[in-house]
Amino acid sequence: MNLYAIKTENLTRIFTRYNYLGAHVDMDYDNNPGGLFLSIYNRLFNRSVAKEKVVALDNVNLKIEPGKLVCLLGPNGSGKTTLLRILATLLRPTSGKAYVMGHDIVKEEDEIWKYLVYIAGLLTGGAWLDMRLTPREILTIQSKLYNFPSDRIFDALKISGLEEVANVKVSTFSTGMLARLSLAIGLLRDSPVYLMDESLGGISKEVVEELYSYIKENLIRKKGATILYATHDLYDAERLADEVVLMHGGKIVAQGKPEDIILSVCKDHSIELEVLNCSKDALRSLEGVAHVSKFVVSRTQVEGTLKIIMYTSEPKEVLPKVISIITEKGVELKYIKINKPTLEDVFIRMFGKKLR
Amino acid sequence: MNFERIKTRIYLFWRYFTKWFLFKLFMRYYWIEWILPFHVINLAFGVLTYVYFAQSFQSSSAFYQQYGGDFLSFLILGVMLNSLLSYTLDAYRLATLSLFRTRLGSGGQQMGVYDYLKLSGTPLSSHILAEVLDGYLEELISLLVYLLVGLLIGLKIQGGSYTTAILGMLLGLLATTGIGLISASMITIIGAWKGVEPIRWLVGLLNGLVSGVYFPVEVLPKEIQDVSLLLPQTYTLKIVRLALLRNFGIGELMPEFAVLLSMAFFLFSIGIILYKYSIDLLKVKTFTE
Repeated sequence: MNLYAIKTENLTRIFTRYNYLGAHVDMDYDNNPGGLFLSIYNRLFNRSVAKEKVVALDNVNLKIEPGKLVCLLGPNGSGKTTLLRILATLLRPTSGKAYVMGHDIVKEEDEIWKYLVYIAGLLTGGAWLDMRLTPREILTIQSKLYNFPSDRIFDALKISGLEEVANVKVSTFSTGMLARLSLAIGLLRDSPVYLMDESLGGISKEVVEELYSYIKENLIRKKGATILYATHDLYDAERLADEVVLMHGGKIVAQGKPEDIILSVCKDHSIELEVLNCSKDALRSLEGVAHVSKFVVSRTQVEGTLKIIMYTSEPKEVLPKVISIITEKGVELKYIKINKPTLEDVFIRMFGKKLR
Repeated sequence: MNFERIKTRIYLFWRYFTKWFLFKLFMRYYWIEWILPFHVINLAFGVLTYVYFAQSFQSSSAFYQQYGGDFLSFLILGVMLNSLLSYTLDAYRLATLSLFRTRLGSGGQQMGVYDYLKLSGTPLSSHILAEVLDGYLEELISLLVYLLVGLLIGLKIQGGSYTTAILGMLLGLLATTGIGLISASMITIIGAWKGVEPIRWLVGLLNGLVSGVYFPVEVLPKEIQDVSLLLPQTYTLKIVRLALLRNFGIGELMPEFAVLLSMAFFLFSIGIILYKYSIDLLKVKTFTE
């Protein structure tokens, strides 16, 4: 039997949301609709507080093999954070089962922390950062609490690019530096599973590249760790993930290698070109090229210039024909390129909008 | 639960408990600098108010005779004990809330002490108990101030039965801890995490009037005296006062001890059961459900 790093079976989480005097109250800490007294008040004055069930996770079945970088993608409210928090035992599922390295997250709740590290993004990871202390002091406290050797502190400072400011108070840090420190705290610990919740948000591209290299080389290749990373960055997910999991409305709508998902949803490449002085005859010829499933023409801001996008599943056959027509008809070509379908296209195709 | 697991849990408990407690202790520097001096002056002025209050009575009331006839000693002991017992009523609720007060984040992404403890495998009890103990330290300082100021202005504790008083106080603390735990469990059971917690509020309300903090219970009408019998504070105050001011031993205070012991056992047991349930409920319900 395969041991999955992460496995869920019909995992469901339902929250209660209150509709108080017609206004929705969010599920967060500060908007609680009140306790006993407010409840009595509502009954006395016949104010109704309607309870709504919000399905944050809906029968999620997920299997992730060890040693993979898996990106969890989905629009806001799709259930990514809820899934990660349940796996990290910070939240209990309403029903269903979940296992981390074969351990039941409910039955063995007190043991799960040994098998995973949850790395919050800057949005929440700030909870670990005491603004009165320096990165070295914060990492030292963490190393004592988690029992790391002290040389890991040096490693953590190095990979997060904070060596030069190791002894500077965190209160003076920029957003990117705080995000890097938050990540460094998580990476200090050895673990078979890392759950990352938008942990690389707010960090500059160059540092993100270095961190990805570190994660792939040291955590995945050398230690065989599994990374489940919730992110909005489709470009990085497509480039770096071994697998992606697409979530929408609390459900997993697709899981697999990025290229497989892209091919299964968007088979067509697009040939994009900008032309000057394109006659109607030339335009008709281009439109009539075989294997083109969709032909889109739009005017650009430069007068006389047209932008043409031709969708095709056979770009290698279509491209020479397009170039040949342009040459024959004396059309001035500004540029031409073939775009492979991306995860962005998958999202547009599946949900009718870009991932935000 | 096997032995290794218990050992790990104890280790995790102790590791966090000591570090958090020492951290809180270290952070007391601001308290010593910015709060304690004002606190001491407040307490001293409070005690002086009681002194003049006592002088106006001139211990003339017969009600005080059974407590040695000295109203000032009666009052200062009452205020000292009340301060300790009142803190005990609040301690667990405040410590439980502190797990969440430090939350940072937005929307579904919220992280705080609770999450940190869970993610490091640290028992929640280590944080709760460290917070409670830290509060007791502050209370101890207040008690010492009361005692010092009291002794300076005429508090008379001579030849008291200290063992009886300490035993009575410990039982009183255990019983009020039970109420405190029940109160803390209401955070999740009825959602009383913001503002007034009804059980603590009710006990506090009755305590001031009926348990005999500022005047003997015997002053009260019979019906209100009956209510006072429901509060562990009443028995604790009576035992400690009679032990210290009239040198009563355990034998002479056996009826009070018997009731207080029963209350301590009952309330503490209920408190532990409810509190455990409420912490479990927290994982299922979250704060807002």
